[in-house]
Amino acid sequence: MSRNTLMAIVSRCRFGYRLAISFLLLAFIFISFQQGSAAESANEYILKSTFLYNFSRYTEWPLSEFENPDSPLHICIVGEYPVKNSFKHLQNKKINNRPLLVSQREIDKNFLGCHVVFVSLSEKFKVEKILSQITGYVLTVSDISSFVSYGGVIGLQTIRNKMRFSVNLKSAKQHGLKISARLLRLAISVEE
Amino acid sequence: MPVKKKFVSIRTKLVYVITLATASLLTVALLGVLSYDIVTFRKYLVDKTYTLAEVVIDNCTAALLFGDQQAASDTLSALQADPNIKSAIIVTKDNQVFAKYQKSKEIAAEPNWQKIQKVLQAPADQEKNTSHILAEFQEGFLDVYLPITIEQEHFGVLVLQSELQEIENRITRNITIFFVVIGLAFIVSLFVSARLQRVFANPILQLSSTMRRVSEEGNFDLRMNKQTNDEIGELIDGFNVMISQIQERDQKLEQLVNDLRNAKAVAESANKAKSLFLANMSHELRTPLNAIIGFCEIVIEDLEDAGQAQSVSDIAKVLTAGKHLLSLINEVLDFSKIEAGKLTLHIEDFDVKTLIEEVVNTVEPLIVKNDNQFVVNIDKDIDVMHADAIRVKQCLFNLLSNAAKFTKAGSIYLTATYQLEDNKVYIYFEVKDTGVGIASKNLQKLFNSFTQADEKVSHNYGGTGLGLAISKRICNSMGGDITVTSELGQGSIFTMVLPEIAQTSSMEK
Repeated sequence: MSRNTLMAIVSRCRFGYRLAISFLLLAFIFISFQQGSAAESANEYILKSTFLYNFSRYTEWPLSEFENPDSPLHICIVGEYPVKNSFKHLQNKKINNRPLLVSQREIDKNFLGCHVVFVSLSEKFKVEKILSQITGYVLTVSDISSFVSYGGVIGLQTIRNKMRFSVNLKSAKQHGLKISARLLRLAISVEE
Repeated sequence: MPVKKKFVSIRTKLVYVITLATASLLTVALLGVLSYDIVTFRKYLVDKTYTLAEVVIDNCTAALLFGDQQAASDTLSALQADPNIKSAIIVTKDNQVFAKYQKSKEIAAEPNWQKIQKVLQAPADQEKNTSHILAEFQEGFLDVYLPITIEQEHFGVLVLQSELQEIENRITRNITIFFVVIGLAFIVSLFVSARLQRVFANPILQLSSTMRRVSEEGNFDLRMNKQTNDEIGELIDGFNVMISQIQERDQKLEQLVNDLRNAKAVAESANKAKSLFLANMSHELRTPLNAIIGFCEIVIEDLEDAGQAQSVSDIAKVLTAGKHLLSLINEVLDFSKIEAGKLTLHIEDFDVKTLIEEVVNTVEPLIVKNDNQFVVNIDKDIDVMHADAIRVKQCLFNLLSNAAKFTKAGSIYLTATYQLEDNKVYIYFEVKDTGVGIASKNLQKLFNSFTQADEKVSHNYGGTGLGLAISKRICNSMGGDITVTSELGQGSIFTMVLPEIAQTSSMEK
């Protein structure tokens, strides 16, 4: 009996039901696509954060910048990025016994206390302004194209699905930073 | 000594000993040094490869961190500078080959994943202490596994494979050096030992040559100079002492021999003088005695003619005594001649049967006088002998008269036979009696001069005791002999042996 009833319901609602399933399917595909792209950019940002971490490894700040040998290294993030907390995982890491301190900074605020400033792609129209605000011993890194020619120290770019970077040695010098030759050797271009 | 060993000079032996000792010492020392060198060199090679690996890691870490395989490969290519590095591989912590370098393209280098896992799993903070387990020698290669570590986190492993060509070259070179050094050492030690051995060998060789000179030349005046104060010095001292002792003893011995020789000469000359005196004396004694005997005979004839029988028997006693005295003197004369070596034999052919007949005729009255039976038995084949007939007769007479003298109311047998011995014919004259006999202890001295069986005999039977001694010596002088067998109270057998042809030689003594 119940079987007959079920069949009756199905046959009665056949059209509406089909429509609903198709809609749901479409929605699902869309969402999963959205999610896939989000995952992709999350991976991309984790890789970028790792690069940032490694850049810091091969950069030398004057000792006067730190209170003691194990004072933390400040990494400041400027601007938006698709996936939240992509940089958060750096929080647990250390460079030469210095713990890493990651914080989000607003554009209009000064960058006092920052050792590394990462300018997000979202701020590509404010690059010059941001760079002009940053003075002192700060390593500036960004994935904005031509970041280096604006006066940034290290610019990330993706070439043939590979993450590469350029270094502006002149800017590094202006900021009083020493960048290891090991790092320079890996750069696709070095501006002097 | 069962096997006569080849003479090898102490010089050669010393050189051998020193050279062999040096060579073996050097061999042991060199082997020790060389094996130490190889061990050290292996360690050095490990350290070198390890250091190289550290440099490579230092240069590749950034590339690994930024995932720049090209940069890493470029860095590894710099290893071309070291021809011993066969391959280098960087493996990521996900077990992916990140970068690779190979000296020759032919064989693809495949890392040992187990080893890599082991290295990756090792605690990062202990990397310095575990360096020894990361190096492995195998079949001509040295593999070094070194983790790529940053901030106590392993990011990957570098595998370096180094060829051991260098170590093999070193071993070859070491062996060459070894043989060259051993060879040189052998030659040098041969030279040095040839010089050093003189210290020991020279005094010994000197001693040996001096000993040879002493024994060959008999020169006991030689002495050696003691040059060193050691066992060899003691040997030389001992040798010198021995030589002087021998010399001293020799001198004493020579003195003694001289003394004895002089004494002997004196004694001999005295003996000769005595014999000469006896010979002369008996000759001088015979002359008047012959006169006495001759005149006694004339007197007896005269008295018989005069018919004075009573006086005849008295004079006859004088005649008998005179004849006895003459025979005694003759014996003494014979003996003196023998002693003085002046007995001369008149060798001639004569008929033995005739000779025996004559002796029997002469001796028969003596035998009959003591109531003895006389039996004569002569081999009919005996005929002619070549000897001194008078002396043979004398000897035979002596034996028969002795038998007659010491036998009373018994029998006396004379037997003559012949035998062939060594292709020579010997005539045996055997005189057997049944008389008093001779004690065995006295048989030995029976033929000595002036000796009779014992002192009582001379009292009871008279005689000089020279008869047998003279007879024996006469027989000896003709190559014959007289022997005796006897038993006290049972009689005696005297056997005179003479060659058919006398050999006159041994009287010159």
